Amino acid sequence: MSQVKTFTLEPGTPRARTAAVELLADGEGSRRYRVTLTPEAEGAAPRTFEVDAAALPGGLLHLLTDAGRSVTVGLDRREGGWTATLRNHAFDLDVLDERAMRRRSLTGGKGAQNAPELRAPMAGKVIQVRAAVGQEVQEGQSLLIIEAMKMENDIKAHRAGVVEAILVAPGDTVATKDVLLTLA
Amino acid sequence: MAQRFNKVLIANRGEIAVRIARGLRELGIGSVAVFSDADRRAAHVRACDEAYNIGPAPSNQSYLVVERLLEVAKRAGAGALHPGYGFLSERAHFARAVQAAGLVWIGPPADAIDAMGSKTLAREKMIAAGVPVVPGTEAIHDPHEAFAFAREAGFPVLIKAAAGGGGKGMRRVDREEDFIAAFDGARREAAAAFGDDTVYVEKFVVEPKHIEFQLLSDEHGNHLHLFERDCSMQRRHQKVIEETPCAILRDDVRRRMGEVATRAAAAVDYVGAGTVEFLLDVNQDFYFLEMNTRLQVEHPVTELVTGLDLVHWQVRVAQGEALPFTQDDLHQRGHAIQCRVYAEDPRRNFMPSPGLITHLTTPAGPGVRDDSGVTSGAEVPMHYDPMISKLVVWGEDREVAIGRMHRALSEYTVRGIQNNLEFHQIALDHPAFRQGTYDTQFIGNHLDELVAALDARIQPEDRDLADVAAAIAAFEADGPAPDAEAAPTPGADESPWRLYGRYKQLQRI
Repeated sequence: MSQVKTFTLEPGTPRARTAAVELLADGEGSRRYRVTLTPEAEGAAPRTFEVDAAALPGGLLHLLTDAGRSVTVGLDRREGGWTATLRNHAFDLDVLDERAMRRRSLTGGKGAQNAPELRAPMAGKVIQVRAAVGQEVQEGQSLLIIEAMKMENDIKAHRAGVVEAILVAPGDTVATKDVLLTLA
Repeated sequence: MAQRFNKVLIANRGEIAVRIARGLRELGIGSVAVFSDADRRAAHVRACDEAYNIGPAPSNQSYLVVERLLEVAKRAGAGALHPGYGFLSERAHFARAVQAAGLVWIGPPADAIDAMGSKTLAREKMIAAGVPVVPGTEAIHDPHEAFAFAREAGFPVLIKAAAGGGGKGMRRVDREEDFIAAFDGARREAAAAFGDDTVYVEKFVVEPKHIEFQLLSDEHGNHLHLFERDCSMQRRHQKVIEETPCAILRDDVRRRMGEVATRAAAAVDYVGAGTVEFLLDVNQDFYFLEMNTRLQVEHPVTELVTGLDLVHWQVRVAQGEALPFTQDDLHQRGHAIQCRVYAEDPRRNFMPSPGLITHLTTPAGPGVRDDSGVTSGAEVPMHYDPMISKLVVWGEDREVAIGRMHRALSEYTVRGIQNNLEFHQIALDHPAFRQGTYDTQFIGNHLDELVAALDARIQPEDRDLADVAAAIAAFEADGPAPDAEAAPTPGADESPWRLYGRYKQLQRI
């Protein structure tokens, strides 16, 4: 039943690594896997875990490691990967399979940091727009105020640039990731 | 004793509506929930015997509409109304409207709300009683007049919403040049949160502890205090952790503060549960801050340490009962701590994080109480407060309570939205918390250090095990998550195995 699939985690970042997953055994209520994590950075050693994994209701995966550690991980789908939650910490992980990695290497990965769009980090209501089209802005400069849950939140420029277009006006309701304005 | 009412409308939502519904059911009294369009699936709707829609999501079209609430009360045949906290709970005109409609108001007399709601009037009464107060203005509209006061009192100053509470419409200003902008911002926030943009300005006491006293009064002239709560652990002027007793409060100061608090209640002929807030400086001198004429968010710590159920006593007092105990009967037993669980991101200056809770696991076991307003699959709407739950523990002493809170937090899981569970674990371990010396500026002043500790909390093996779990999930789902457009996100509470099974079925077709 041995079958290995390889995934790339957080591709295109300094922390990129591959995870080779092998199903070792199908047990009563759990499955055994061997997972080898190999950082892409040079000089970093691969780490291999043999774990007994029990899937529980609620998107929970209980792991027993070969060192005897017992830990429950919550798993939620996210765009392009999974969020793994353990010890109250949520790890947002991009996870690509081999096919997706090949596709990605053809198109070339693009980061969001240099994108022209400033997007809403939360859902809320636009209270104030502090920038004007054509204005030159610095990274970190406050450009809008969005009210969410009765608190005002400063929305700051994600990079320096010139305001090209403003797509929202005071009073507008925005959803998470909506484009607020664009920078040239 | 004849009952004045046997069914209560709860004019609130979230955890406090659930809390009140529980208390009512324990007393054998019927409960009526109200909900906005955004709250059809909310926990408080299910916690009550009856529930009625009162309008669209924005609170000024639903939870704040007096006529709508009174209509529902009439239709449901409720004999009383409990306002909870926030929303209309401290609006005297609402208390009067409720009583004019023939309902019992589970709260203090409207005149007491007026007296304490007007911060200037409240201050006058305190000054008359010889209680020190913090220098400040009356309600002030002209920014330049306000600025003149700030300059004279000396910076830093606080700008506060007159109708306020919960830190909304409140700004600290450290520099003269920031004053006007902060004044305007506070007014906007106050208008949005309370429908009233009146603000006032007061001098800011440096390194203050926020110590408040719980009060309980009846219609028969009995005024008791249920000791203090230390609510100094705050961010953005909102409480995050509360505890009782205060770890550093001297017994003689506690006694004097308690006396002053009950005197304040007597001065306004208070009835029901209320709270007097003080600032305590490093010399343990205290200043009257304000009185909250309602049930507080942090009332559970007082319940655990005094053994009294405050919601029960609110209801029984409203039924006309006399308090059957005296001040000498009341004692603090052990130690209680409350951590407020917020939908927010501590790493991004506590930015609110509304959204879908994909999964929720709440702690249980000895000495643990979770007052929650959400469940797995619940949406935390952007329209309301980001607090989703209150985790409260009791221990025989402070050390035991801290250990128990750590254990309870380790059992608590909230997924799908950012939350501050990790932050609590870091805060509990900070020397300033351990020593009990933290003041209201603690989080703001130590934010970088606390965030660094958040990151340091993550062990390399934790990262690896997160990777291992995500890789196994990807293996079972046979590939990465689909592109956002390509397929809907699988439902909440879906196990990797089930995803795997569904994939297999698809393969067979």
